[in-house]
Amino acid sequence: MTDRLTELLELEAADVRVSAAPVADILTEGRRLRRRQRRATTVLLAVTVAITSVGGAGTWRILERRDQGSPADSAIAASRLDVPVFGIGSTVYLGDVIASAPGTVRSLHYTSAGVLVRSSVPTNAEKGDADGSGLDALSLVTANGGVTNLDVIGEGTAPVTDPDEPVFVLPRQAGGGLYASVYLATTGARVGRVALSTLPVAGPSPGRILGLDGDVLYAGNQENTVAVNWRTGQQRPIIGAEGIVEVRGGRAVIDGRNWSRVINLNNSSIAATVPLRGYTGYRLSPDGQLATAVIEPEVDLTSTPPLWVYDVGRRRLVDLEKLPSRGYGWTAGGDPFWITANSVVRCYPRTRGRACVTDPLPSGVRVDKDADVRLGGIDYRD
Amino acid sequence: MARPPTDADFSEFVRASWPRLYRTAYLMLGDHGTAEDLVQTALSKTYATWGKVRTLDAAPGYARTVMINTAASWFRKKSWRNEQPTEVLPESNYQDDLNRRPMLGAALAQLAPRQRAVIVLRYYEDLDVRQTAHALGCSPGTVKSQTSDGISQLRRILGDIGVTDIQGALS
Repeated sequence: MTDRLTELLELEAADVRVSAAPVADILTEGRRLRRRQRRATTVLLAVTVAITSVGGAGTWRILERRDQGSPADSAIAASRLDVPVFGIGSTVYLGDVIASAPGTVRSLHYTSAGVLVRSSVPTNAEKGDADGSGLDALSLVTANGGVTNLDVIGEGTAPVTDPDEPVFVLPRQAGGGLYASVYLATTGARVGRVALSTLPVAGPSPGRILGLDGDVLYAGNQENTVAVNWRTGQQRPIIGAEGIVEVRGGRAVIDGRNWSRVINLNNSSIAATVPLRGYTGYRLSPDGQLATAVIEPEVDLTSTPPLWVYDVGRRRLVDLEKLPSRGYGWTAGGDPFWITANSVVRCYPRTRGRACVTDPLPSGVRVDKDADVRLGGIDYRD
Repeated sequence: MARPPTDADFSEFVRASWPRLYRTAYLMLGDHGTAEDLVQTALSKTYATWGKVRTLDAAPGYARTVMINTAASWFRKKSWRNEQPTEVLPESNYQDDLNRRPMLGAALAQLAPRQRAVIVLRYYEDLDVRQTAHALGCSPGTVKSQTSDGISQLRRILGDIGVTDIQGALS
């Protein structure tokens, strides 16, 4: 009896212009969700085991304890870490939580176990600016402020992480060859090492580790890029991806002579392109979902150039009016944020409102105009 | 089926199911970008929870359920209650043929989000009251009242040319 309504709906549906299915994006996102689910299950099991072990009145002590990154602690922390993270001096801010790094914070890298903080070791800090000859300390800061000191590495060597994985990767040299060593972020124990035999250690275009996406790490130089599963050792060359600038979330930025591109690394397909004449090159959010490019000012070099934000997965521009073109970082989940003198502003590019929300900094904290603020999700190389 | 499908199998499934899901999503939401978001999200979730899909034949139905559940969760958010999705820029390809039928799209846009979804699920996807209630996570009574109110509103907007008879709509 309502056949007429059905008929009208079918006519309406028949006229809908259906876009092409973004198969590669759906596969990428599906894999990411599956990894998150696996991890959530692991977290739940870890917490359950811990609670069962402690039992009774001791149960909630786990949540209160600030030990040195026990598995249960890290598991709990991992489920909570979705806040703007930044460092000033040797202080690390994770939302309302404040922690102290061993030295001046150089860069902050997201893992599923917490934030990996690279800081200059005290002797190095005394020298002032980094000159490449000193050492940096790596520490894990969990969401509850617990700090675990992990390792000391060469100055300016940034670890490579995936926000969804509890590990970090460092380049190592041995026997004249280049290796990627994989370490557990909670303890610093090495859990894997793969040889990058196709990449030179030195020379005009040395190999470097570009990014980590799940179990697959990407390494390359100007001529070659290779994807390596660090658990199995399986390697495959990435065709058409020479000269990668950065890798995040299974996507890479390549700057050509006249263009900057985002490509999907699973099939080398081009996800987005901008001409370099008129734009700076793309930069990716930690999860690879958003790509940003600054529109170069044509006339007025003193004005703030507009920022172009592109949702790669959904293939559309995102209107984040407030987001400044410089000086913003990313949360582990891929939300941009920036710091003002007394507040932190976070934008939500994936929600319908595309809102940017301002919250005060922790009580008593004020950021000087000239302060060297290090933001989470940015690869500072000094 | 507990193991994830191969990329080739899943890609084929996505390409095959995408048009129908997209049309349903567009009818429910009235916005191309949001419809694409919804279907993309639903298919990604389907991949991630593939272990719950018992056979490949069941996958399209599973994906549709995931899509409707996802839409229902969107409807529950405050921003959805305050903000109706609309096409900001008119696109000529989507203009209705007024000689052929009344402006159903414009009429649907005047319904509340969940009411609109109920109408689409019942009369485009051909779900019964119980199935619609289950998919949207509400009671059968709510589906019946939303159906009745929705059709009344459509008839008011479209007149007799649109919906002439609602007998049996609540059965």
